[in-house]
Amino acid sequence: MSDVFSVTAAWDKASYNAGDTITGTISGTDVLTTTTTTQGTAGPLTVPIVAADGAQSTVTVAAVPVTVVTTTTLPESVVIDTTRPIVDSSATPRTWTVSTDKRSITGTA
Amino acid sequence: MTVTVPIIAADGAQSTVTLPAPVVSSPASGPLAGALIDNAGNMCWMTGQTAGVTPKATWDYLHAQGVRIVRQVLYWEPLQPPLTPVLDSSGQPITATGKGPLSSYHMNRIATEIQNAYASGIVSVPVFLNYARYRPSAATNSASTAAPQYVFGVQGANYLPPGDFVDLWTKASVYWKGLPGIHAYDIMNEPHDMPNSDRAAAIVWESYSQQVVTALRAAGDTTTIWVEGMDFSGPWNWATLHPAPWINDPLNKVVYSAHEYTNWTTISGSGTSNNELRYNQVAALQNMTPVQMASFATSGATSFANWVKAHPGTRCSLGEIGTPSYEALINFQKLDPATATANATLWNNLMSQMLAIYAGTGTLDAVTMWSAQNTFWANGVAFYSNLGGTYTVVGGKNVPVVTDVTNSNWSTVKAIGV
Repeated sequence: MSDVFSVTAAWDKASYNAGDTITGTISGTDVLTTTTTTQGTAGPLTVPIVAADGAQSTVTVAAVPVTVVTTTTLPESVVIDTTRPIVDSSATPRTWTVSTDKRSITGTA
Repeated sequence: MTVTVPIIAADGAQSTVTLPAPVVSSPASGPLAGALIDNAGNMCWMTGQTAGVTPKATWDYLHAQGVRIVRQVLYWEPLQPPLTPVLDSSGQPITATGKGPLSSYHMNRIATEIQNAYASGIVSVPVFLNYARYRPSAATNSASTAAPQYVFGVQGANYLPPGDFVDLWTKASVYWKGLPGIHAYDIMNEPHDMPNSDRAAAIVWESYSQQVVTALRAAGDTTTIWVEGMDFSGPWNWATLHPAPWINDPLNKVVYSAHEYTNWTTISGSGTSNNELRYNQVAALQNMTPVQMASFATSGATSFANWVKAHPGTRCSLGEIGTPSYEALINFQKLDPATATANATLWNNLMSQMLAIYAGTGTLDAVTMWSAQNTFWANGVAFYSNLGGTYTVVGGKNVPVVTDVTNSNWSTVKAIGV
């Protein structure tokens, strides 16, 4: 099982005036990839055969082990993780608030 | 600078997504400085009014031009009229102002002015235009330079002790603390000659400014505080006069504010001439070629910007900046339009270079242009339309230049807007 995040985030404006509300929204999904493996066998097989003069017989192919690998992908919703901090590396970090639906953050310009 | 947001998928898988730092262009790109109370207690240099407050229509007009921030320029003396100085045994003032009450009349007018501006979408930075001085006679005489002139840190009979400065701001804070529309306090305009403008004087200024910040925080005032530098807050020798940021602010809300002009007979942090000059004239007066002059102008900005960047976490503002304008070249230099256009284009280019350097610090809090009606510094006439062109300025925005001010109160005042 593996998770591949395909998530982007963007501000709602190209620039802000001081005092404006800054909103950043995330969009995208996490693609969960799950792989299952099934062990089985193929055969044995009995194959009828016929000669040019019409004589008939059979030939048997022995059983062989078969491994079946099944991969499924499932897109999953992604939200902001409120258990971890938002890291603002600016000289004067803002206070960021996560929206109720956990899809956006807001701060003050 | 980035904002990194933690994210989590439905199955509990964790990751992060990173955004670039949001671009905040104002008040960083909102210009204009206006004078609110002159020496005689008259209201509003910039509107020429002598009573009442600036009409809201004027603020609305300015906002429509893109103005988002103003320095509200005040004089100390009419706001805190002098009482009898208290002297120590050697005759040195213990207090030069007498630490009297602030004029509730003026302070209430100022509060109204700030609120009116804010109602029009413009925030204010009140500043005392006192240059580290207090002149008792200036409380009633707008033209007065009469003695005594008390000065920060100058020992002797003209000593203006830090307690008076602290007293001014703690009393002003009572009126302004938490007042909507105040973006920051600019605690003193352009300290200089205390008695010199050297490192020794800078150390004194560092002490005075620190004491005001400490007092304001102790009073519970959380307002952002702009602190200017010794020697007219010019950028060229800022790093020499102030080797490092000096304010210890528990809230980390201090902004170091530089002033830079290139339009005068001297290129400095303060407008000091009554003339508007052609590009080559300024260069000639400096004994420089035009290229050398431009290099000198940008070297100041670069020096200050490097100082800011060398000290992580340091914020800055450009409290005053100015170059001559097209109209000033027409009106005062009597240039023909083509020549004025050529000169104004040079000034515009230089201005753009300077602003980009300040913006390049990444911590520029605001740019305010000096603009007021009754003098010829970089005010009034200096901020004519400058060709109606654009500056590329803070945040990479193209800043349209105001081409006309139709309000009669602003007949000689033009501003550069966002």
